[in-house]
Amino acid sequence: MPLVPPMPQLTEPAFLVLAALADEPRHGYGIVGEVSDLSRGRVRLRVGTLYGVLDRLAREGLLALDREEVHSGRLRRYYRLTGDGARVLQAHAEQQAHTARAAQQRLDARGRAGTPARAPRPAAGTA
Amino acid sequence: MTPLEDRYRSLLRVLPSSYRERWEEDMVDVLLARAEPHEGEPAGGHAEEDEPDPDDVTDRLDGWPPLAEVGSVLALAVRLGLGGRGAPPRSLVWGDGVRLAVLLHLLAMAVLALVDAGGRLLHARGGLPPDSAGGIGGGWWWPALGLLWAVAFVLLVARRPAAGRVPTALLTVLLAASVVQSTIAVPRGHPVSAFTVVSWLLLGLVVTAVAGAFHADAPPVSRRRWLVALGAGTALMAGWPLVRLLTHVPAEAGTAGPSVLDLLRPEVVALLGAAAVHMVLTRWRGGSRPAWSIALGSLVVLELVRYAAALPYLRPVPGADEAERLVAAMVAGQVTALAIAALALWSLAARQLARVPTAADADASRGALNG
Repeated sequence: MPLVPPMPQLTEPAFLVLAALADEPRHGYGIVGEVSDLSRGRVRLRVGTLYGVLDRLAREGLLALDREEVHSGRLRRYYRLTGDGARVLQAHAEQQAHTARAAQQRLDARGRAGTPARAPRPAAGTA
Repeated sequence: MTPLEDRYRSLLRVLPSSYRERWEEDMVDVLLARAEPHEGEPAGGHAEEDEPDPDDVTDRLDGWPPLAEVGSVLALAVRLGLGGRGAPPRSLVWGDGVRLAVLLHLLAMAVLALVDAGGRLLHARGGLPPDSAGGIGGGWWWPALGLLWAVAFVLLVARRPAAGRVPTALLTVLLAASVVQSTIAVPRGHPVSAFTVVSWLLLGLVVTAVAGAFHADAPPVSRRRWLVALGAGTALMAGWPLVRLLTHVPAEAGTAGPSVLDLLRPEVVALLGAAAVHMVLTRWRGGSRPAWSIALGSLVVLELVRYAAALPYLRPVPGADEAERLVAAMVAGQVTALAIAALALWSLAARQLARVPTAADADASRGALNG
């Protein structure tokens, strides 16, 4: 039986950072903005959180340095998704999509039935 | 360099130097981009919607880092120092040591709270003589609050996502209640005692350690092992009043003299016993378990500080009777034993840590492996 390496666990910020890099390489500030867009403004990454996540993902080989540019006299590094990063992101995205589909199907079934799953208990003293 | 950039760079000095070498320029760029955004961003950038007032930008560049960013950098420094999955080996050892110390401390407090609550229940139902219950008194409010230790311990062991947050909140409630209760108990015009202040500080330290060490990257805790320890510890501790009763020797007819066990704190006995077993096992087996040395060393220092703060109240006054001098001698003996154990454990931890690679060593070996 072939050995399958365990899928790395991803926190929500880590998942969003990988998703932010899925279409093109971005620098730190670009990732912050993209994560905010992807989460509809719900997740605003602070610098400590962002670089904790970037450091861990880089150590695990899920993202890598793409290029360096000088912007406003400061060094700006761009990061890209690696092949492993794309595979991990794909697996987690499929898992989330599956969960969302299952939840939607149950909500649809509940809507079709038109009644709550549990019947209300009769009040005490009534026949 | 603007004052803001200067302040950001000073703030980033809380991070380990190897980490700063890799990420500092990036982090400063993001922090400053937030203060001076909005010019035409290059590809990969993210433009804000509104054009800012130039005066606002100048104010921001002369100002201080926002508190939220400062908090996130400090939290990152704690996470890096107390590492979890994927952290450099030495940081992981520190993280494991602090997590172990927190779990052992919470376990001890949970056991004491459960035994106290059980004793009160039995006492209330008339099933336990007042003397064997270990000084039961007061109302139910304070012991009920003490059970927060047990709840925090179980939640930490249950290892739900973001496991540290709820226990941290519970222990913060405990800390706040402790501060309020002991402040109210002090008569007006009298200062709060040094012992009380030290107790607050130590509880604050535990709260900080729970919040800092049980982060998202912390490895999962062995739930079964710790719950078994809670059950076994509670059973053992519940037997303590019985042992006290059995060893209780009246000094004279009609008066009760103290037994040796009355003067020994069970947590000190357990701690010194665990330290001795750990040191013997390390010498005998020759293995290196630095996390245990750090955990036991931290707990021994914690207990030592608590005792040291209580020493002024336990010093025998001139004309003290035999029993008071015995109490003072027993306390001094326990303080000495704790001090010796602290020295032995931390020197062992230092020797063990010296053999664990640092982040720079790990990076160098990874570089060598990669070519």
